[in-house]
Amino acid sequence: MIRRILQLPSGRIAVGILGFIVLLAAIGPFLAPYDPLEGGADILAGPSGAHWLGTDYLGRDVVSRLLDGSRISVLGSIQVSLVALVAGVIPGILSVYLGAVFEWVTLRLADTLIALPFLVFAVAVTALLGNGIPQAMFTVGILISPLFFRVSRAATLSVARSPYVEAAIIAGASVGWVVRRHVWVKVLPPIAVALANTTGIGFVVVSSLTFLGIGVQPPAPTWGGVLAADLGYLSFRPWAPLVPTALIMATVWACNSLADAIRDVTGEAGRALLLKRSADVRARA
Amino acid sequence: MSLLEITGLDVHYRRRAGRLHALRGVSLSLSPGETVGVIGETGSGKSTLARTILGLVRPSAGKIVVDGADVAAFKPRQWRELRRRGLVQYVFQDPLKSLDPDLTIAESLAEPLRIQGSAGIDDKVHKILHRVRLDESLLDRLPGELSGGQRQRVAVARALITSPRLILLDEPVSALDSANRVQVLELLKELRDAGTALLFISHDLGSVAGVADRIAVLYQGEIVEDRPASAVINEPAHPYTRLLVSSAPTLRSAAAGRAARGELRTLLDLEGAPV
Amino acid sequence: MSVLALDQVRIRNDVDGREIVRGVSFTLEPGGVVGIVGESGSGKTITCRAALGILPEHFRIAGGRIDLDGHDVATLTPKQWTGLRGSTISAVFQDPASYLNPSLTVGSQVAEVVRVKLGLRRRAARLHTIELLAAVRLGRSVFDQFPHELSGGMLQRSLIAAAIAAEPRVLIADEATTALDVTVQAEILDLLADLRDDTGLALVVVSHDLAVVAQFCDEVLVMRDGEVVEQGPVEKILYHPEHEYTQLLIAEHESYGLERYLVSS
Repeated sequence: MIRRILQLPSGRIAVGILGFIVLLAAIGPFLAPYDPLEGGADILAGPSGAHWLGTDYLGRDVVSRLLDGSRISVLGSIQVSLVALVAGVIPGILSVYLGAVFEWVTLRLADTLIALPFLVFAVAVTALLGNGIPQAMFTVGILISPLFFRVSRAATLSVARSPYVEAAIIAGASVGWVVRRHVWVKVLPPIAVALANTTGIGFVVVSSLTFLGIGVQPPAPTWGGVLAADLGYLSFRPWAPLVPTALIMATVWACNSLADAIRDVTGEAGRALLLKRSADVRARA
Repeated sequence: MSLLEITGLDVHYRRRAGRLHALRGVSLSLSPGETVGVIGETGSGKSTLARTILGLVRPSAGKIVVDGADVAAFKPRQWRELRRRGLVQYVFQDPLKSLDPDLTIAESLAEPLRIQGSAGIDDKVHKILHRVRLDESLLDRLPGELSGGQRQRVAVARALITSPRLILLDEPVSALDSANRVQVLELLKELRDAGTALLFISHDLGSVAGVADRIAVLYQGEIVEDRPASAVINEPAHPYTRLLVSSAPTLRSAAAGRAARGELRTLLDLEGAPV
Repeated sequence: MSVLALDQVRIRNDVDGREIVRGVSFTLEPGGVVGIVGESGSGKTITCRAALGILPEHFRIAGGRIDLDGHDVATLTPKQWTGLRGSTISAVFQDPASYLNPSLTVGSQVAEVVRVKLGLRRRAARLHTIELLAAVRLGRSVFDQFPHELSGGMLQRSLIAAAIAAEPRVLIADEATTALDVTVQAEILDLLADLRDDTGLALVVVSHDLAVVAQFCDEVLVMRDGEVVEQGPVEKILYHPEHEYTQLLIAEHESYGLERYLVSS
């Protein structure tokens, strides 16, 4: 599947951008030329050889702050999508098999969670549990989990009623067998799409929260925080907010087009393409 | 002793507007080596009958005795044990949908054996493929790469792989063109001659007539006629059977039955009667 | 004079350059019935579409001639075609449900054809539609029902009502009974036979089943892979088939169909 995503131009670009961002998160803090927390005498400076993107209102190097801040943004968005994945997919598949009571409860719970505005709720939870990215992201993950719940439940339902699953049941298969053998493979592609999408959402949420100053203690750098700081001094450095904005936008765009690419290669059309390819290979052999 | 003995079977479906009576007092028996055709049109309850015998639908009354055990009151666990013995198998109407599109033919064929946990799976898969006259090169293909006729033979092969004593077939030839239809019907005849009991369910009298010893006609959830095939076709007793027989397109029948069919429709109060 | 005549019609797919239909000829007189038998891909449907002037994109008539009620169709403008379709030639196909809008009543959809083709006003169209529905043995209540409330047979009959609204001289029934139950299939075929008897409507009956076509056709064409392998009066095809494919079709019925049991009379 990964190979086929890379065959699409949009898939290649998306994977390239995400790879670059993840790399930034992994080694960015070590590449930072200056200490991101230490200010200098040079306040609100323009770009120069020493400070490529200039300095902020405390004289801190913006490049260093962006590099260092990438880790929180990336880890936060991954946390959101993983929490949502676990909290959504497992009950989503089980809701089809564990009987009417479990189904009713999980469906109502999903309806309730989806109705809550997650940004506001995350703010409330951090007020309650202490200001920290993990708490905020965990909350957002739980609130986004109905997306995974619905996606995996819909995919499971369509498979569970198919004749080939009935054929397996008639042959004496247990629920576990049916899920492992038939359901799981069909649920994976839509989950992969949802995962890419929620990572994008997670990115926006982390950036929004940190923009608002929630989830991080003030000196710690984040993309959203850099953006907020730059917006405060628009008259001195009018171009400055463009850099963190571009980073956030590129990442979110990459997540969404990766989701599209997965959909393209795993949908009905993708399957037909796969069949044709394997037939071609066989014809050549 | 009969392999399948159904007595007084009632099935209801719950619907928003009250209950739907899908089957009423259906009784049917099947001995080893016997082929019974169940004829029914849309809404007659023929698929419900098959699904009830397979334990996918729970009857509200009646007995279903399979190989000496009354399965009507079976619990899920007992059903699983019974099914793993591979005694009763089912061939679906649509061969494409009844095969997992992501599994190769070999994997689909082996699945019932894997569930049983039996040994020598590869060997059995090759043997069964040979039996339904399919080439071994198809084993690592996906269902989407096969023709309709090949797929239906794979579906029959999957049902045969556990050496069942009773096979239920739901419209096994309706979706096939004539050459493939002949091949599948030939295969069914071989099975019957080898002592397998077949319950052949179809809306089309014509496709069942060639292989069935007995024909049971299902009409609005009831069996209105259950007699040897030639008797049902040559001297149909129930008005519905008469309509069914005179409606089946045959090469020699021309338009002679038009008036008679009109009368039967009026008698049965069916749509299409002159208004 | 014939209402529909095909003379050595050849149809080409311009994308891959293949000839999908190679040389189909038949002549249909008023009240006559021609049957075309063949499996999917044999070219029977594309032949019908050529006669209706609705060939899919990239397909064209590469040879031969089609005469529709005295007009050579090659000379027709799109506007003339629109005038002829419905009032001279009409058709019903497989899967009637897909030809009706699920959110409009059946009556309003048949009445729309009546208004466009006969130029009747709303009220008159409604009355005429109810007459048409009665002609296909559908009650007045069907007028206000939605497609999902009707069975497959009733839907097909309402489509036949729409097809015969402008009193065409030829009706093409392309696998029109394939998706239906056997008793419903007989009911539709009986209806077509009645229409032919009552109004002199000429029919082209297309089916994969030789027995369906044999019910009331005068002439039968057996098609395979774009070619007519055998053609002749129905008695000749049924009792003295020459081509081995026709023989196979008949042998299948004799050994597996009802014919096995029916006492020949």
